Amino acid sequence: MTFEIPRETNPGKIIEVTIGATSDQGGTRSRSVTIGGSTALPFHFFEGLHPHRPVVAMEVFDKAPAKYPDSLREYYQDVLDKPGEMARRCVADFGAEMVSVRLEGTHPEKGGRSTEEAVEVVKDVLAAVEVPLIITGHSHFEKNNEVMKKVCEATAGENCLINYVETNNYKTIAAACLAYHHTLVAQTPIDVNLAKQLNILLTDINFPQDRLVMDPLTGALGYGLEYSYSIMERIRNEGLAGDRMLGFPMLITPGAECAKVKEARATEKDNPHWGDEKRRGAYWEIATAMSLLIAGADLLIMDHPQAVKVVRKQIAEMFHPNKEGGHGSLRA
Amino acid sequence: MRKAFKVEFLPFRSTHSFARGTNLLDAIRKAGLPLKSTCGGKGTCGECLVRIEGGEARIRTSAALPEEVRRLGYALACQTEIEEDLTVELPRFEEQSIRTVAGSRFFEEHRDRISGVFEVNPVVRKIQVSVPAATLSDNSSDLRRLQRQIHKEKGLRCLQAEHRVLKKLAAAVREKEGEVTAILVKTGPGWTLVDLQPNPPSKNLCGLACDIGTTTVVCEIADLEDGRVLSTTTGFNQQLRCGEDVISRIDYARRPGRLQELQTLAVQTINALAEKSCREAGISSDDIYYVSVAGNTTMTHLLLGLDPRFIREEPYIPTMNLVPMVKASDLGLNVNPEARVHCAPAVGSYVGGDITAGLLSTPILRDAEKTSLFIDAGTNGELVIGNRDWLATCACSAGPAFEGGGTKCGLPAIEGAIEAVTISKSGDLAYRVIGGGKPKGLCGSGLVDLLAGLFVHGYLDRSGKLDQERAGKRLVRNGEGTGFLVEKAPRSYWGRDLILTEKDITNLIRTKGAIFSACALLLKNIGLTFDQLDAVYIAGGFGQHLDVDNAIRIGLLPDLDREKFHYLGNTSLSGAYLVLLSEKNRELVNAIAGKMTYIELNAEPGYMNEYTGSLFLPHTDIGLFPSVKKFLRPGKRLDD
Repeated sequence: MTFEIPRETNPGKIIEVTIGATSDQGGTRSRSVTIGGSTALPFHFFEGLHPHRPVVAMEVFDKAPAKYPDSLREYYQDVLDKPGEMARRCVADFGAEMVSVRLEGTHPEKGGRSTEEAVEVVKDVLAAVEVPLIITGHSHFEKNNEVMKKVCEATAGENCLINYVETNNYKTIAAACLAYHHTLVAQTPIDVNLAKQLNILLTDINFPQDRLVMDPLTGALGYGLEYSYSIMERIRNEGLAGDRMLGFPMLITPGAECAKVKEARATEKDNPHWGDEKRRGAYWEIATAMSLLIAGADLLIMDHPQAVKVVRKQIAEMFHPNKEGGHGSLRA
Repeated sequence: MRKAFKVEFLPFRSTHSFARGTNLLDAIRKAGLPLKSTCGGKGTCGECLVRIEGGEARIRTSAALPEEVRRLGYALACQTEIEEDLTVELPRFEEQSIRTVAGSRFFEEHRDRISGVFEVNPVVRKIQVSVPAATLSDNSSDLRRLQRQIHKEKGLRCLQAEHRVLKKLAAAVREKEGEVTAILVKTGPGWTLVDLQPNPPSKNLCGLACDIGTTTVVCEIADLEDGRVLSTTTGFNQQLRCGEDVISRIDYARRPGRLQELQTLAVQTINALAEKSCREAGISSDDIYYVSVAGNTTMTHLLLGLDPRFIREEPYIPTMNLVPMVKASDLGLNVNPEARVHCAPAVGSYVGGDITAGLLSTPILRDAEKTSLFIDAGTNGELVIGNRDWLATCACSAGPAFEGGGTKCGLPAIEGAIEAVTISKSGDLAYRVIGGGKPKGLCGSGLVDLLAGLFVHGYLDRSGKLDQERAGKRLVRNGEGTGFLVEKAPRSYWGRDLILTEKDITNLIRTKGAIFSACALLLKNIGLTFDQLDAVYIAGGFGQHLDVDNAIRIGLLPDLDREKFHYLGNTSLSGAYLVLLSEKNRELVNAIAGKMTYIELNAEPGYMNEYTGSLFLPHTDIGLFPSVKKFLRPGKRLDD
């Protein structure tokens, strides 16, 4: 008698979203990235299809965050303030499949850089790498809207992933995305209903469903990861069950989340029993990222080059058609 | 330089003396007069608006008081200091009286449906008997002869007599050949003699029904001989100054002396309204021999001067659910000192006498076949589901948004409140004001209409955000944020713009969300779905009418056949009134309390999920609202 894995089939399918545009598609990227399309829970190859692998992006900054961990600075040193060069390093040396340009420096309380400067940074990165870009903003609505509008205009046709809008501030940025052909991140604070509500609001103003990615706002390991996990899993289950307003690919940001927690940053000198911070920082990010991949993450913005390496390898192995524990062995 | 000044407060005609420089809001509180203020005297809420009729005061400028309003003589009490003798007019909430859907009107409309309850057989009786004179061969005492005669002529067993009556007895039975008018109250198995009326006796035998709500209090006087409602008055609960909801009142009561203060405020509120009711009804307060109170558990505790502290501390236990009869004079109520006070019993800490009394005024208790839902959308929302054979109940903290609190433009359903609103596709706004004058604000029914109108015509997105472009000329932006202009300053009662702010909208959505999600959860708990309900009875301080269609459009009520809904208005008051009318009702209401199964929603893991799902227009899951869904098309307004 052979054991048969019980199978659940789902009526729904996660919407496929393509980010970045090649010259054929009206942009300048060497290739575009497609996420979503799953018809089963993550890595359940025996239950449905996963036509696209989860994608790992890395992040560069218009202004290096004041609290950027020392263990990460080592990898970039001189290029931390040169977003174009840093992006190139992320792609060429560390295998980033996309690059996120974080424009936190335009926040009036975090540098107050001008919109023009922000546009220059984005153009710089766009010229430096050929992968699709994510443009990451901040929570100061007024300034962020102004910056995002200009950046959308300056990168028209590139189909960047504009990260992000929230329930109290979505119209301006969504309109700019529509006008200049970009894809959008809808961010809501760890709640299934709130996530669905923002997606409804966006589709109510005719924002196309195949250009929408959700960020359910996740925490780092030790900072509510279990809760994040269960919310993501519920969102994915609803999406697969056929709720179109929850059937979007999900973006997570384990890099930024882990970079701010003490347990990942603290030095061994200060906490001898916690061990080497370089490895610990990477482990923390790996644990966070891998957990949330299982919960349904489709796109990850990460910081630690070692963590990126491990997570990409894990994804590749899971998707490998023949390898033990991979795609093939799990297929029913 | 004088150090003290006299301030006369209108319309109360009370004059008090205060030291130079006393803050006017403090002065008003010292004088024990009602005035709402929610910002704690910071000059930001604009609610303590008064008019300086005589004298000059030092008034600090404040963003909440527009210059043109100030020029008309208005001032914010909290921003005003007394520097000479003043005459100050306070808002006339206590003076305003409107008919609510209760009492007489309630019964004109619902007599058929609730027949069997509407009988006049109260626990207070006025009887005339002639007591035979004592003789040497009949040497029974005066009381014994009176008791015997009451039994002989009226068939009532009078077992006890109040000390106060005994003092009058000897003289009374010897005047007018022993003709006496006695007032009896049913206490336990027999009756107690509580009064002997002078000759000629008063023409009236009255009862006072009182709904004591967290936000508003309504008093109604009924003739106990034929059941007629003689007058109804509504006012704010004077405890409002000590906190807007029950939790803040319970916290307030924890400091020494504060419990007594809250008890006094409750009594003062009732006394002020009862006095006004008596005047309107043309009766004397001494004619009131029976008081029937219905209030939530906390209000009942505070009225009786019981410590409410353990209501809010786990495991949430009240002092008692079934309240023994007390004497009006023991509480300080300004009615006949011998009057008995009945408080409707509670089921638990968060399902109180307002609900047990409320249920009495619905047909639910008489129906064995159907399953009905009863929603009391007060500050503390309560729900009951069931029929004659079983009842389950739960509470939710809904907030006061539909009864005048928690929103900038909200009012209880009093004169001057907008009670109905229609908005045309082109944005023209029409409304109806209670009493017909200039509007002061909106009561619950008006807010429901306004919210639904704005939503249907695309002024709001589904999260309740205003579409600024669409709002056009009606868009208002000021220090408090963005809002929708309902009426311009010159056409409003207070001479300031009447605005529904985005914050108000958020509060309204939270309130309706709390009520709807509690309904959904209660049904789920019992294993029923909305469409299995045969009837939905709605109570609350919305006003005289509630547009069910609009209430469904905003997701306050479930999307069912409109015929299933019955808006009953203030059922707590109706229930208190029914208790006045008949002994059977009193026994029924006491029995209801013991029958209900109480479900604690806080312990439900699904609560937050249901709640956040409801914080949307009409709901995140549009499948629950098919009649609204058919209007919704992405990128289109509902009216397109």
